[in-house]
Amino acid sequence: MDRRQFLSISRLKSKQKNKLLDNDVIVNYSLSEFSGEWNKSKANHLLRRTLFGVNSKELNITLNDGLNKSVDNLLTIDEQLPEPPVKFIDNQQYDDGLEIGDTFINEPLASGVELQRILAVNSWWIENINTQSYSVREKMTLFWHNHFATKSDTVRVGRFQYATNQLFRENALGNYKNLVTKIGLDQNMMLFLNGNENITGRPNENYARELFELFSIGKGPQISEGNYTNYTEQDIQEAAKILTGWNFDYAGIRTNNYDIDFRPTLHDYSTKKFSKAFQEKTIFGSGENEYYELINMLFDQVETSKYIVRELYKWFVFYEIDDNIENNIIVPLAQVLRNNDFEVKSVLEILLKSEHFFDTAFIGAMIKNPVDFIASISKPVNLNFEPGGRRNFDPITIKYLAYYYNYFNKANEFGMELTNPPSVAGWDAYFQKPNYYRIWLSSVTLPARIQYLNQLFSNAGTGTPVPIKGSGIEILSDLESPNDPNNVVDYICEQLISFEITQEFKGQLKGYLVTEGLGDYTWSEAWYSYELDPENALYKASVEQKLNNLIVAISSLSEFQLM
Amino acid sequence: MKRREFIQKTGIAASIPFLINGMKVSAEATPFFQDLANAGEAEDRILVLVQLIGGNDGLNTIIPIDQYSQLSSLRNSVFIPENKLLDFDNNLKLHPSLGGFQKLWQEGKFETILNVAYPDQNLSHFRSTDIWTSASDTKDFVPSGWLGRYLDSKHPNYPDNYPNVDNPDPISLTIGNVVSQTCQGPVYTMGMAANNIDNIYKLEGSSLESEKDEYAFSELDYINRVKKQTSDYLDVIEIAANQGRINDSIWASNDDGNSLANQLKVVARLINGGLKTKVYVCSIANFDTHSNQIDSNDETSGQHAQLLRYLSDSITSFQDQLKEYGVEDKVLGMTFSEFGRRIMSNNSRGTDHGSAAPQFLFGTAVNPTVHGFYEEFNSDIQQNDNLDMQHDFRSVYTSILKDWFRVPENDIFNIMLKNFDTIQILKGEFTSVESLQFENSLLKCYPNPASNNSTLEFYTVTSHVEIAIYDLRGNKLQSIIDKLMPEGNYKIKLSELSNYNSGIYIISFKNRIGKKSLNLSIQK
Repeated sequence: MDRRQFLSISRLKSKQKNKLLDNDVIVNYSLSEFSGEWNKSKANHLLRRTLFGVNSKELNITLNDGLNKSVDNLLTIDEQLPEPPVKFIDNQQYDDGLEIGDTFINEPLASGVELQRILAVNSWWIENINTQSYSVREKMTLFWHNHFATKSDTVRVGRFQYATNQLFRENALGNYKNLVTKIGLDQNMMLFLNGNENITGRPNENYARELFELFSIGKGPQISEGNYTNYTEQDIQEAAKILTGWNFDYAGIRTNNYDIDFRPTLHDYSTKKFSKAFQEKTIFGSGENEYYELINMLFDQVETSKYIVRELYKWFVFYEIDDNIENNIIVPLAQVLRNNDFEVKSVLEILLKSEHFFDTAFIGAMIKNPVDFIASISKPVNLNFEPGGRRNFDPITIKYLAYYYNYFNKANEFGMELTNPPSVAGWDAYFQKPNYYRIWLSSVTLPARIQYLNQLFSNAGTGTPVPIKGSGIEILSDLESPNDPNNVVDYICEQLISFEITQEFKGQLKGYLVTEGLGDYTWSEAWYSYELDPENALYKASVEQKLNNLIVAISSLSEFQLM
Repeated sequence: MKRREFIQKTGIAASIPFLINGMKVSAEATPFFQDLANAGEAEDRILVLVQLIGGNDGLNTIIPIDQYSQLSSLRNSVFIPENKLLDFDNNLKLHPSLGGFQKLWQEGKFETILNVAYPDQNLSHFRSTDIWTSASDTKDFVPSGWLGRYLDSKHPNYPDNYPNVDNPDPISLTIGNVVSQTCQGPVYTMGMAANNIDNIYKLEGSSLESEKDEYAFSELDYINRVKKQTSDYLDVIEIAANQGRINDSIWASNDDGNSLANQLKVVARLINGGLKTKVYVCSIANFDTHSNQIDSNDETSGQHAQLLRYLSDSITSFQDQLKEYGVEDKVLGMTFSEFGRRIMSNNSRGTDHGSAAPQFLFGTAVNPTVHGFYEEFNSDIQQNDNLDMQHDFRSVYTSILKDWFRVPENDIFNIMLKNFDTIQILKGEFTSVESLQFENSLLKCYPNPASNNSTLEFYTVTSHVEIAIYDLRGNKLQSIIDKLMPEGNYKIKLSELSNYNSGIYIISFKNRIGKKSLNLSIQK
């Protein structure tokens, strides 16, 4: 069948035009362990929400291991952190004293070099996402970046950007209270929210405000001037005073020491009095310890545990939190979090195994964010980000640039520039009512996504300075009998789409593989020729072209935008 | 045709009033009527923004000739010989590359606002661009653009059910890959980006048969709507691109890699092709001239000279092309840059990030003058000194909203986030001064209250005139005049009012300047 003809078959249903969500959806609100059939749909759901992209090996392992073991494995965090980013390009202007492959993360700050270093950190992060193990670690790293958002455009220091990123990875499923404590003493955050300018007599409330509003207890409804239910303006002012004194030597280029420490001479030693929201707590001017008292005070409030559980819910399940979900899911999980002294893993262990999480209402209901979108095609086809054929360049140069241009920068084009979210609140898709995830897709970003798919599987590749190409053959690597075009269509649909596809539609898709008017054997012959002589470029091109067209057709469906 | 004849032919005799059944009316004017007073011809008006990326050196663009000697020592490494400068306004001359601007100035289609900036200048390209596009204060981060907020105020439901019959075309169009931050609305991006209109990327891929009752269905429905909307917009862009005609001889001077000319050519073609998009954004980069701003052998060439020539030649060609189309009156152009550059030059034949700079407006609607002046450059100017701000850039934006787009006052406040002074950036007939005169012009009805007959008197400039009777809910009940009319005072008899029930009715008057209305009370 002609591709255009196929794609013009429009069967859009026009139901619910003016309604944001279908109110009639019936959802299971139970947090007890999922007891239904463990099948490919459920296994894919679990993997798509916890990993960046899924390949067939991971799906098979998950099917075999069953729910419990799979979740336990996914929630296992490798204590070994990835090796740091390195200098990747030979250029006299950048880190002249280093060789390609040497890390720059211990080098003193150097204006003019930092943009290059940040580019390296970005490529390095993308490589970690792309080469993730069977673990939620990378997904949680991005979750924390969205939660504790900073902007590299503002801070512009590569080594701080890197350190914050590793902090998130190291604490991916760690202790939330501990992480909040640490992020307040992080150079990247301190520069971003002017903590270093917050000194006694000249308070800068920037960090204190976000600590309350976004990083811990969250803003409640404004009930009177300066009173946001969960805290007041007075609380922010008092907290800002507590935070005075924590500082570091930004200009410490000579000593190369940027450690944050407590400086008594910069600290406000007055007594800090908090509002009724905090039971009118008083914190006396004792110095360094006040910070930990402030964190304790915030974590003594039930609202703090509920706030982070809602954030996790929106990250893993769905954006809509109605009263039923608040009462049956959020509140009990917040209790779990408090009972477990804020160990994040305790919440996800229950949520990701629950009847609620596996309810069909949520399967395929999440619009992929740009990184999930790229991963959802690059992972199944095992996309190679180290294209060869460039003799004049170091492989590290090529790898970093390939990740930068074909992944990082594409995600940026689609509206998600890692390390540079729009604001301290993170990406709008996770907080902006009422559209949430839908914000990812506009008349600009949706065509851009589909154009990327087309370019990826074209002969010219992605059309970037370091182009890469996908090969449809890779997606079949675990298929037992790829000579049968029916198997091939089934298999690729299953890997790319979260929904059941009718036999009729699959029959149409098969048109990409078999010659019109002739039988399935036309594909089988082509495949056998290739299998017997894989080095034969003509045989390979013949099956690759057909598979590429099939993959583009399936991934161009609106359904592919969902996971 | 004589006026007497004209009136006879356009009388109301032919129209028969609707019979109105007893209908509850409220005495309050509804928002519908506020709209009536503010819309009018502004609906057809187009704004073309040209962003000069990098920070344009205003002092080498428009040069105060009366202070030439002071400046030539303060900026000795970038200065242009006096005899090469082009004549402009009193005491001001233009960079030798700006022959096109000089021509537009002589034709009365060019306007300059000197020393535009904002308080507490931020010298970061990123941050200052954010400020110029969002129209925020220096200390605030506002994640939407000023035109995005304007378009949002006009299209509060966008993107739901767009495009539609009333709005078939993109509400803004950035010529490039990414929509300008200027057009970012509070939630949605208020418009599209398109680059090569001769090779439009077609959205393919529909959707599966899906009858799911799950949340996925609502999301899928949304995606399919975005997809359809995007294809529809790309279709209308393609149609306009195919219908638009370019006179290549007008653009001949731009055939040397002038990317801005290519962008403006796209805009011209789409306007000619009938696209009703109100806002276009183009850009030209590389104004960040820290070094080699001028050529070491020839002060009149170099990076800055080339950029200014690109700018001036492309805008001039654009204007000439619009003239040939006969649509000059509908298009206003404006340049902006994130900042100007320092008063003193640096040691690399360049200039560093500064603050105030000139903005240019072009088109037949502009007030062809120079706003502001260069202050005296005294001898104690230091390396880090900047030109002082004379006009807040948000005053320019506010003036455009008010005079060009005729946005109601309270909407302007919501868009601009604050109140700003306005500048008379448009000629009399285009400004809201005219609309003020229009507001005060003759429109009366007597007797009022009336029972069976009444007389309507009005004044109009030469224009298509529409007069109609509405009820208080905004339903049109009767058309009275819908014709082209010469300038003059008119008197028309409204007969057959006996068909109306007692109550308050609105007589709405519309000509090319605007809409206004009066209340007619009918009492039996």
